[in-house]
Amino acid sequence: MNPSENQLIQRLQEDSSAQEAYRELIGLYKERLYWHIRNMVKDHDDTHDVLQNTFLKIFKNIAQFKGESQLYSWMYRIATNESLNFISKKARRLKITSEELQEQVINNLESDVYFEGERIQLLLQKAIATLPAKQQQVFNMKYFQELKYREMAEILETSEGSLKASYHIAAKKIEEYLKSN
Amino acid sequence: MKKNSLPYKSGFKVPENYFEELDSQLMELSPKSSSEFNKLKEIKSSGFKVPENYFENLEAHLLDLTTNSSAKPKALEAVNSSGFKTPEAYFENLEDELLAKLPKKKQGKLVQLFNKEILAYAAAIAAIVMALGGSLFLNNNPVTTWDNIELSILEDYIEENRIDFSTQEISSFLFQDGYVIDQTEFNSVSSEAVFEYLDDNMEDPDNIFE
Repeated sequence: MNPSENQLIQRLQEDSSAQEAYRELIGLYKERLYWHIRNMVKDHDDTHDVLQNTFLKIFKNIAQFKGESQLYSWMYRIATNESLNFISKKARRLKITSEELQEQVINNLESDVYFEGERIQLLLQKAIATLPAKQQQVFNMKYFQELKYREMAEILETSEGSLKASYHIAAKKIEEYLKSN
Repeated sequence: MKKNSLPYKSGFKVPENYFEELDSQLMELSPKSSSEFNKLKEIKSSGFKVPENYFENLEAHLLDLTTNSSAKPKALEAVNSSGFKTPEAYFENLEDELLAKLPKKKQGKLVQLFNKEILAYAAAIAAIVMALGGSLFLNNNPVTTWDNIELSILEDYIEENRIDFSTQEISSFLFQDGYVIDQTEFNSVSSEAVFEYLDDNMEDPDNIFE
């Protein structure tokens, strides 16, 4: 962990400087976390809710952060869990499965004001939705967020080899889906 | 040991006419003619073959499987973004919005688990428990269990003000989907399960503070 990250963590863990450090933390990571969540949750308003919950959880639990991983990896994991929990809860509330919910959300994208709406982009979202959850995650992180495998391995706590294989399989499936649609 | 004491023959023998026939036998094992022998020297290949364009495609195939392959699926080479957009100036206002939602400073260790409405319902349930306790001994038919006590029954008790229990007694009851849960079901509930329950059912997290 670099010295500036260490300093930020220390300031977050002290009551006197926590708020100011929290503002700085949000400024540094808001966009990366937002897009990570958005790629999973799809809808902007839902993403905003999850992002708030994520930063709140980070703030409340920063005292427990021991530096065993990079700060960003830890925050990313919180964002991932919050996104998955959000999707599960929403599906339970609607009495459908998470997969059915995702299908609904994607079908609504065409009329979503916060979606550019090009056919190929919509088709890509549908293709991604056909993948198993883990492959979706790996594909989104690699394709849209362009994370390195090393970074993904730390966030997802999976080996780089597995991630490469996972991405390779996901990309092939997406290509086949696009060709046949 | 003196040489003269050794036998001058080894004792080994060969088949009859062995050496006379040896030349011809050796010739049969070598290339029959110099031209065939020369042909052999010219042949460099093992005779094995590969599919057409195998080596031309091999590099691309291997690159697909290497760490450097962030290559986008061909069908998506023209797609540069996910297509998702944000409201105008969304990120510019985010810090202030998130800071406003920070929890207030810790003030004490008072923990209020339920709001007044739920406490009232719990009080009504306690009343029903008392009533059932008596009726079970007097009358076995019909059997009323925890599974079929509805919240609507409790509402009647609340309206009729048949409640007189302390908050401590009331808070020992829990609800799920309008039905009272038998407390014995929670004897082995872990803390994690309780927190998950609160996350799912607590509308206003400010009701829990410490």
